[in-house]
Amino acid sequence: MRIATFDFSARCIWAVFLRHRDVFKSSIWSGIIPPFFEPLFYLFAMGYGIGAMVSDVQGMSYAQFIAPSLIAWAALVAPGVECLVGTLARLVVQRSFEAIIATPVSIEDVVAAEALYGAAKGVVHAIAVGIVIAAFGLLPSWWSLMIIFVVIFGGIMIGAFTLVYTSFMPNFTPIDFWFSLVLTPLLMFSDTFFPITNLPPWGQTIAEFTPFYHMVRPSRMFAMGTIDWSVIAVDFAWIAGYFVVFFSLAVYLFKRRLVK
Amino acid sequence: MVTACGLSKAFGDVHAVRGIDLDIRPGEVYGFLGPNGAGKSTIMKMIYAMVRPDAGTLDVAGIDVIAEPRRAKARLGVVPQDNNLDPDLTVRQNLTVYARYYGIPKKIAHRRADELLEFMQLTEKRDVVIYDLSGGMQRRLVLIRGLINEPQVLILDEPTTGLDPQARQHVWQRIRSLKRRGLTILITTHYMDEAAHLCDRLSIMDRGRILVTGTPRDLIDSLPAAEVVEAHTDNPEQALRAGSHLGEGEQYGDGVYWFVAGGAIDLDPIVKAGVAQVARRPANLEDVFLQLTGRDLGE
Ligand SMILES: Nc1ncnc2c1ncn2[C@@H]1O[C@H](COP(=O)(O)OP(=O)(O)OP(=O)(O)O)[C@@H](O)[C@H]1O
Ligand SMILES: [Mg+2]
Repeated sequence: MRIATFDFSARCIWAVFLRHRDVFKSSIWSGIIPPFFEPLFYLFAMGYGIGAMVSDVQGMSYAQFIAPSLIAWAALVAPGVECLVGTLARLVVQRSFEAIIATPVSIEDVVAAEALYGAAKGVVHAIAVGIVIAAFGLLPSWWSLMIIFVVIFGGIMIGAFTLVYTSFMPNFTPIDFWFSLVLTPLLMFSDTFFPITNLPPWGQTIAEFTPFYHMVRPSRMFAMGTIDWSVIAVDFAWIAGYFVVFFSLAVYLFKRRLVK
Repeated sequence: MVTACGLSKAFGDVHAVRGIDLDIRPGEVYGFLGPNGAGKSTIMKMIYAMVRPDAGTLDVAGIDVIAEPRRAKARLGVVPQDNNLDPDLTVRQNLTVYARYYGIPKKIAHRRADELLEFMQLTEKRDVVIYDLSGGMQRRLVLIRGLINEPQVLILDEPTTGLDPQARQHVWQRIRSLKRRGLTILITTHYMDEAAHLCDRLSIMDRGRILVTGTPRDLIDSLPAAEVVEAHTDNPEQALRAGSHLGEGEQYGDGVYWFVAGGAIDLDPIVKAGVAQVARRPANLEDVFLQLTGRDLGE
């Protein structure tokens, strides 16, 4: 299928995705256990530790406030790590992509499969974290199940966003910039651990433009069951818009890098 | 089966390939011979769409590679110069996962993988991870990976580099058996004997250009004589004088060469002149290259 000048094949995307899944299966526990525990530590440290000193936030307990953020977190961190560390390993160390694109698979397919795999990892992590958070009674509404869609679509978008950065990386050296200067601030300032209304007006404006903000906001609405569909529609539109921009850019950059 | 016209590629100001034409026939084993940097791999990569030509046309099995890379690549088997196996997977998975990229159904992929492992005597290693394979075994695995889609055209970029003599013989034998099945094979190599053994026709390249094309026999027959006396010495001028009875010699680097017709030949004067290394041998492709470029083919 050709979209604009891009050439996609669902079958080929799936074939590359399955390759990643096969590798994931062979190291399944390290792929599930660490990302399962990490947000839990945050829940205890922040939700209950710091939370004990914090009055209610927007009418919820502090633990309740951050619980949906911890699920959405999976859709930021899983693709944010996989599409950087994993993709870069395949790109420069293992040179897997050079072997793959000698088959009928196109570079568009490879990039799509990377983003999809990052998102899929996010879904696995989000489900694990979600189950525990629900057990703590922090997902009061059945609408919470809808968070999975935030994780899927948001995860793919974050995957594409990450791939844009990855395409510029000559090796693993500039990796710290991504974690310290991109992932961490996104995690901190997107309505995750405190309402962005606490930021100065300029900070608030910036926060509203960040991709992760539009994943946390609908997650919290679904978790609480206080749904404003017009807000959710806006958030999904942002996610879709960001996806189109980042994904197109990532494909362009990977083509430039892989085909001389 | 593979046709190219005016194919060119420059990387910045390095003109890797400068307007070559190809017409490779179905069922033919076609070789590219040339020193490092001649542009052999660049031609191969253009054929499997890893490198985009700056100019020219390129067809594989009647499909325009530039316009329809996906369809063209489906018919190609690719063995690149570097062993880019998937280190996250086992030997057998490297074949089955690769088959999936071609859309080959699982059952068929598994059957073919087992047949190919057998074909290249790797069955014992089927569940080993790539890191535990020797370089030669990795090379053999890359070779059969290029066959998993039963291609019409097989591209072999230095298939036997890094193999021991025995493994090389084994691979040659396999390539010949693929040829018997009617596969069209493109092969690059640095080895004269390999080219002479395997290729129906070959092109000798240098600096992005094809210098000559022909059967190995034709190319060698185009030389002034069927045999060569070759001497290597620190003092080539002296050797040239000492061998003047053989006719006019040619000097390239520390080597001196005389083309000689059959019959009795007296090497004593050259040996007496203090040249330790002197021998008479049949003319080969290396001599063709030397004649054309005045350079060594190997490096
Ligand atoms: N991706 C690239 N970027 C820049 N220059 C390149 C690239 N690929 C090849 N070249 C240059 O193009 C020229 C031809 O390279 P190529 O790999 O085709 O040679 P080759 O005949 O395969 O040599 P070898 O026998 O060493 O494999 C060389 O000068 C090489 O440095
Ligand atoms: Mg080469």
